[in-house]
Amino acid sequence: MGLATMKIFMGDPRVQIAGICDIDADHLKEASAAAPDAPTFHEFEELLARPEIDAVYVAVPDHWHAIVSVSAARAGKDVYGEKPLAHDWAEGKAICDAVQRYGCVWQTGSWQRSLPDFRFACELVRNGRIGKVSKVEVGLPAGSTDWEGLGHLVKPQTPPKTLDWQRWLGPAPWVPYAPARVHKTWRWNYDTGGGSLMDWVGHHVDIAHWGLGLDNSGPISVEASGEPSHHPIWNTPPLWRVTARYPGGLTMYIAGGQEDVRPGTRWIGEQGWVWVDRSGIETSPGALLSSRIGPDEVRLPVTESHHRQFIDCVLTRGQTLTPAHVALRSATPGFLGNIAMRTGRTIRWDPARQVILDDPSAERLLARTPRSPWSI
Amino acid sequence: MKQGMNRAALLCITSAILCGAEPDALVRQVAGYDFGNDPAAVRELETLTLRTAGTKNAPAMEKLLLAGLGSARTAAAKDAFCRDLAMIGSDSAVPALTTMMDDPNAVELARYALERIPGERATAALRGALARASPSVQTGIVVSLGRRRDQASVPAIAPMLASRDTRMASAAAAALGNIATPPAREALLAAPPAPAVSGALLQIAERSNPETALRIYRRLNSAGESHAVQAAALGALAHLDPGQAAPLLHAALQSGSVRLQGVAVRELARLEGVALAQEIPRVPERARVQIIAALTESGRPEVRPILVEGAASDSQAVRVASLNGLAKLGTAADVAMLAQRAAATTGDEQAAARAALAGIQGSAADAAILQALPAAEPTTKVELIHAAGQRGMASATGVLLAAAADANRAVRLESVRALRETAVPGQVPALLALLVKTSNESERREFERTIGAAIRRSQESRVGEVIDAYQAAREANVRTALLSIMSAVGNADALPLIRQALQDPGADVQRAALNALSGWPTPAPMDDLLSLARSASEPTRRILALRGYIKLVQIPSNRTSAQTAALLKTAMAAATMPNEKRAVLAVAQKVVCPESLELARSAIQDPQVAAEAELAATTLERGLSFVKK
Repeated sequence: MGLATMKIFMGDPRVQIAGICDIDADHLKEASAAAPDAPTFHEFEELLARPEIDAVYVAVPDHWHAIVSVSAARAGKDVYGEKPLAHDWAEGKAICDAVQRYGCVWQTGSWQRSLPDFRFACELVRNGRIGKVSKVEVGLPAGSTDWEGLGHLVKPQTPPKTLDWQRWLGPAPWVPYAPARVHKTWRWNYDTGGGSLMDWVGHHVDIAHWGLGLDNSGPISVEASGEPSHHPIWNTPPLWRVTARYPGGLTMYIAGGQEDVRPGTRWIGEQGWVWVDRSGIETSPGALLSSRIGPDEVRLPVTESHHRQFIDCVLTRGQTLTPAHVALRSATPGFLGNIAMRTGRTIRWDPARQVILDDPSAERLLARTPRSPWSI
Repeated sequence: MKQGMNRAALLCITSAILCGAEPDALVRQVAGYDFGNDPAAVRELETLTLRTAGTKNAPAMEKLLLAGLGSARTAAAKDAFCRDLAMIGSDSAVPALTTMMDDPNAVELARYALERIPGERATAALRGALARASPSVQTGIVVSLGRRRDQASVPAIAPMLASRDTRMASAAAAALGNIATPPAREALLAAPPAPAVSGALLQIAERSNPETALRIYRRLNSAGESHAVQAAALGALAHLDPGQAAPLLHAALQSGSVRLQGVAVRELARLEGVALAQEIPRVPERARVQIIAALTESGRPEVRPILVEGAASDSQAVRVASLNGLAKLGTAADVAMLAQRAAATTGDEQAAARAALAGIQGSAADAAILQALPAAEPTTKVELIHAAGQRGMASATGVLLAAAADANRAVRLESVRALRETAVPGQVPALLALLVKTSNESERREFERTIGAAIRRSQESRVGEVIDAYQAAREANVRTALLSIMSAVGNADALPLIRQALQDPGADVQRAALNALSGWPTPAPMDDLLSLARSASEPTRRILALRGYIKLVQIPSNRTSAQTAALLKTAMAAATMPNEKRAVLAVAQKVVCPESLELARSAIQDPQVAAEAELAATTLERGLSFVKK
C-alpha cells in the first residue's frame, strides 16, 4: 500500500505521477523522493483541483476514505481506492453513489482477484467442482499487531511538527495525539479503523464472495464475538469470530487470529473443498487441482495486473474487476460483524435493500457523525 | 423511587452481561476519566450501553448516562458520555445536549450525539442551535441538519449558499441536496455555480420526477460546469430523453474530455448498438478505443467483424483494444490470425493476442488450435501450444507430448510447459522417458515441474514410476532431477529412497536428497532433518539440515502454538551458528505464546544473539499483552 503501490503504478509507462499529497511531511518527503518531478500538496483539495490529473490512488486511513474518494469523484477523477471501501457502511454507500453519479472508474485494492490461484479457486467453486457449497471458512490475522513498535506510546503528547494532527483526525472525533494511534496502528481503533476484520475483509471475504457469485448479495444475519482489547488506545478486538448466514443455507465463518481456522478462504461443498491464500491453493480431493475449466464453463476475468487493469479502464471507461459496489458488498459482513460484536446481538440484514432489520439501535452504528467541518 | 427502580433493573442486566460490574460505579469512574488514563471503565460503559440499547432497560441506562454527563469533570468524560448517548439517546437526552450546544468547548460532542438520536426533538435542538451558533460552529450543524434531511431548516440554510466561507457554502449545498425539497432545489438553482451546488442538484435530480430531473440535467449539461458534472448530466439525459440527447452525445464524441467521450460512448452503445461503429473513423483515437471497449461489453456477436477489422488498424491502441475484445467475442475462425499476431508482435499487442487465444469460448476454438498446430511455422506453433496450455486442453496432450520431442527447441520447451497444464498421471511414464533422454539442464528442469504437476493431479499422487526411474537411472543429473520431483510431490512413499540417497557416494545426489527433504511440502521429514542437523559429519550439511527443519516448522499444521514453540526450542538447541539461531528467533516471535517468550528470554543469555533475542522477547511480550489476557 501507499508508496509501494505508487511505485507499481510508476512501472506502467502510461502513468505519470502528477502530484503527491500527504499531511505527514516525512511521508511526503519519502514519496517525493520516488517521483521528484511531481508537485507535492498538503491538502487533498488542492491536488484534486489540478485539471491535468486523471486519476488518484487513495491510500489514507479508513476514516478518510469516503471524504477523499467522494471529493475525487466530484472533481472528475477516477479512483484506485484501498480496501476496505470505507470506515462504515454509510460512507461506503456514499462512495458508491458518487461513483455511479459521476461515471467514475473505481478499482478497489482487492488485488487478490487478479492473481491466478484465487481466480482458479473461484472458478472451481463457481463451476460446481465441489458441489453445493454450504460453508465457507475465512481465516484472517489477529489484530493489535504493533508493526513499528510504537504501541506502548499511549500517553497524550504534542504532535510532531511534521504531522498535521487536526487534519489527520479529520472527520473522526477529537482525541489527543499519541504515536500508538497513528501510522498503521490506526486500524486498531474504531474511530479510525475497524480492526483486523475490516483490514482484511476486502481480501479473503471478497474472494469468498467472488467464488460464490455474491457480488450483488450479502448475508441475512450476522453474529459475532471478540476478546476485548486491553490496550489503552486500541479498542478493536485482537481475536474474534463472525458467523454470517446467507440465503440458501450458506454459512460463512470468519475468524481473526483463531488457530482452528486456517488463514485464507476455504469453501466446503458436498463433494470436497477448495482452499486458497497467497501461499497457494489446495483442494480435496487433491485431483481437483488438475481440473481444467472447460471452454464452455464459467471463466472469470483474467487480469494480469490489478493496477494495470485500472489504467486500462481509465482509458477505455470499462468496468474494473473490483468496482465500488462490489467492494461495499465484500465489506458488509465486516461492517455487520463489528456491529454484532459490539452490540452482542445477532444482526438481521436485508441484502436486497441493504438495511438492518428490526434493530434501530444497531442501525445507528451503520454511520457516525463527522467532526466539523467535514462532511461527505 | 423511580430512579431506584430503574437502577435495580439495570443492575440486573448488568450482572448478566458484565459479571457483576456496577453501572453506577462505572459512571462515576467515567465522570473522572481523562485522556491518557486507563480507559477500562469507558469501554465497559460503552459495552453496557450498546448491549442495553433497544431493550426495555435502555431508558434507565440513558438516565444514568445523563447523570454522568452532568457530573463529568473533564472534556474526555463528556466525550465518552456523548458517544454513548449517540448510541442509546432518546428525546430524554435532548435538553442536556441542547445546553451543551451553546458551549463552544462542548458543541461538537453534543452534535455528535444529537445527530444520531432519532426524533423531532433532536432535530429541533440542532435547528435552534444553528440560529444561535457562531459561524465557526454553524458548518457542523448544517452538516447534521442535512444528514437528518430537516425540511424546516431550509430557510436558515439557503442563505449560507452565498457564504464567503467556502466550507460553509459547500456544507449548505450538500445539506440542501440531502433535504431535496422543492424549496431546497430552488435555492440551489438560484445559487451561483459551484461544484458543491452542482453535486447537490445532481443528487436532487436522482430523486425527482422526470420533468424536474430534465430541468436540472439540462441546466447542468452546460459549458460552465465541470466535465464531471456535464458528463453526469449528459448520461442522465440520455436515459430520460434519448431523442434530445442523441445529438449531444454525438457532439461529445468529438470532445477533448475523456469523461464526456466516455459517457457518450457508453450511452450511444446502449441506444444505437453496433451502428456506433460508424463513428470509429471520425473520432479521436481515445474515443475509438472506448467505442471498441463499449461494443465488446455489449456482448453482441455482430460486434466481432468490427473487432477483426480493428485488429488490423494503423493505431496500436485500437489494435490492442480490438484484440482484447476478441477474447470475449472471438470465434474459432480467429484462431489462426491471433496465433500469427501473437508470434509477430511483442508487448501489449502480443499479450492481448495471447489473452484472446486463451479466452475464446467454446470447444470449436480448441479444435481449431489442434487443427492449426501441425502445419504452423515454429513461431506460430509456439503460440498455439502456449494457448493449448493456457486453455488446459486435455485433448491436446498427445500432440503436445509429440511436440515435446520436436527438433525445434522453442517448440519443445513450450510443449513441456503447456503439458504442465494438461498432462495427467497416465502420461508420467512418457514424460519421464523424455526427461531421461534430454541432455539440456533447463529443459530437464521444465520436465521436473511438469511431471510433478501431472502426478499431483491424481488424488494419491503416486510416485512409484518416479522411484522406478530413479532406481534405473545411472546419471547423477537425472537422479537429482527425480529427487526434486519426489520432493515437489511430497508422497511419503519416496522418503525411504531419499534417506538412502542421503548416503549416496555422489555429492550432487546427496545434496539433492537433503534439498528434497528441506523442500518437502509437509512437516513429515522433520525428524530426518533434525537428526542430520545434530549428527551429520560435515558442518555445511548440519546447517542446511537445520535450515530445512526451521522451514518445515513454519508449514501450517494442526499443532498448537505451544507445540510449535517446543519444536523451535529443539531447533535452537541444535543450532551452533548465529544465523540459524537468529532464524529460530525470527520464527518464534511470530508464534505468540508464553513458550516462545520463554525461548526468546533464554536466548538473551547467548551473546551471539542477545540483541535479536531481546527484540523477539519484547515483541512477544507486547503481542501477549495486547492479544490475550
